[in-house]
Amino acid sequence: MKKILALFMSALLFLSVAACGNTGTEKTGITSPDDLDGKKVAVQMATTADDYLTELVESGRDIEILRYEKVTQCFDDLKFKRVDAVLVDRVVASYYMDDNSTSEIVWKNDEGEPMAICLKKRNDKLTEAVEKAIDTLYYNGKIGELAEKHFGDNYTEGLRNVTQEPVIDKEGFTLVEEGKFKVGMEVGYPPMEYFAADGVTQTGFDVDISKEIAELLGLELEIVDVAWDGIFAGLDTNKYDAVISSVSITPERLEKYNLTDAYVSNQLVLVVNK
Amino acid sequence: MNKLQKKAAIPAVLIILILSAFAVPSFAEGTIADNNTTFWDGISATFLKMWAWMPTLLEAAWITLSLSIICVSCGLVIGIPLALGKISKRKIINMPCKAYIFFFRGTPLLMQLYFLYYTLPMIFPALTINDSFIAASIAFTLNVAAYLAEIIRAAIQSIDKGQLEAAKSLGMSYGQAMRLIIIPQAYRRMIPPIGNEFIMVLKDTSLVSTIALTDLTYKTKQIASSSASALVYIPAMIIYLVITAVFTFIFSKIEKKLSVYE
Repeated sequence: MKKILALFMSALLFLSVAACGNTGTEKTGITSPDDLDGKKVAVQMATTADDYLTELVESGRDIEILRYEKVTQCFDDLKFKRVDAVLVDRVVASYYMDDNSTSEIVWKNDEGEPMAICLKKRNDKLTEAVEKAIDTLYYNGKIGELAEKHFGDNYTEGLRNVTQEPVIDKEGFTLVEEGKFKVGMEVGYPPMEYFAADGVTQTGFDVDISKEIAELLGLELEIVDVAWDGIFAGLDTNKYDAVISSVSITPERLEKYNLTDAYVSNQLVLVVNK
Repeated sequence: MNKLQKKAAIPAVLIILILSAFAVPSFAEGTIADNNTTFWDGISATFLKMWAWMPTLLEAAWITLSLSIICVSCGLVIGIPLALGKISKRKIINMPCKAYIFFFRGTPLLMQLYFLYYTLPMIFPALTINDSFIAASIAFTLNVAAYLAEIIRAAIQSIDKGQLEAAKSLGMSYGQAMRLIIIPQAYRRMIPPIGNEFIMVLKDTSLVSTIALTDLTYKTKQIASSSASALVYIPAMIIYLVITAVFTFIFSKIEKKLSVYE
């Protein structure tokens, strides 16, 4: 009995070691989404990158999509060669890839994907005020400074042309909590919104923008950290006033929510291992 | 209706009542969201919507189910020697077993999963597991083994000492007494907690959705986000409940069969 057990155990050990064998992917030769057939691609769940690939699969393409909760998991997977490519926002890709990075951007979506601030449908008064606040940031050039600071490049250029100082109507808008501007954010999407190295301080482009907007509206800012795949459900159920969390403008979102005009431009990029 | 059916009917009715309590407000949501003219139109539209998700969800439930079955059966295979090892009086055998159980019961399962999937490949690139199903099976098996070992140990030690003494006085060796007297009695006592553990594992497998394994929770979350409707949690919960109910029934049958002599 003992011998049989020992034999069984060693067989199990052997099997599990064999299963661990690294059958990593070879150089993929991917240069655009056209080359993705039969390949594995990591995206963050419920992002526009996810929508983009899902649409391709629904049109009959053979792409295996791995949807993760956090965008960092996609890059980990690429590093371990579990996936062949990552489809992600340009701003995020540039954050993860420096000069000695092992991955590279091989394709950019020509269709730009500007981002906007998302508010509840019919909350027009607050939308108007937020819109004016962003205009103010464009007017005094603050937003360009912040973009330079976080992206190293001004991705806000040319989106808005504000020649006159906007006047913000600070009265009469509906808030979730009196005197507070509550913002839903998935803090974990660098450089847009993430935790600094100390693990406590929230930082990033959207965090700074939210601070500026709250100040212009004369409200106290409160950032609510939520998971991305539940972020719009939180807005629906009045957990916060707005979502400022790299929200790309899509027809579906325009239909369901109040979106401001774009405040930063973005596009999808495809990242593969070098 | 026999006795058993009557017993089963009460929880079934309760479940349906609770679920309908959840469901009524969402039916109302269906009425508003889809511009249905009457309340009843809203209800039928909502039901159709939930019904349409079923095939996708059932397919994903298969992954959940097979993962739990694989993990509990492999966990048993590792758990039995672990339990016997922990009972053993020899330090060289019982120390490693104790350490193993201490480690796997003392750290969160989610972290063990992440450790296996992300940290280990960083330290030893050769240990990169490409298939998330295999990674999840290994992590869960190792964890479940620790819990099952404790269950088995408790069952063995719960058998009255007199049994072992009586067996020995009949001239049996320790091994014989264990094999013929103690373990058969312990079987019956470990069935309920093992059934319990199985159900726990079944629900814990929802953690694998974080490493992009298409289990029931993963599909549910994906549908919830792509359809922008949290209604999908209702059919998903019903599937979990049905699987749990089936296994509760199976385990109670096994328990009955084994307790003939009690």
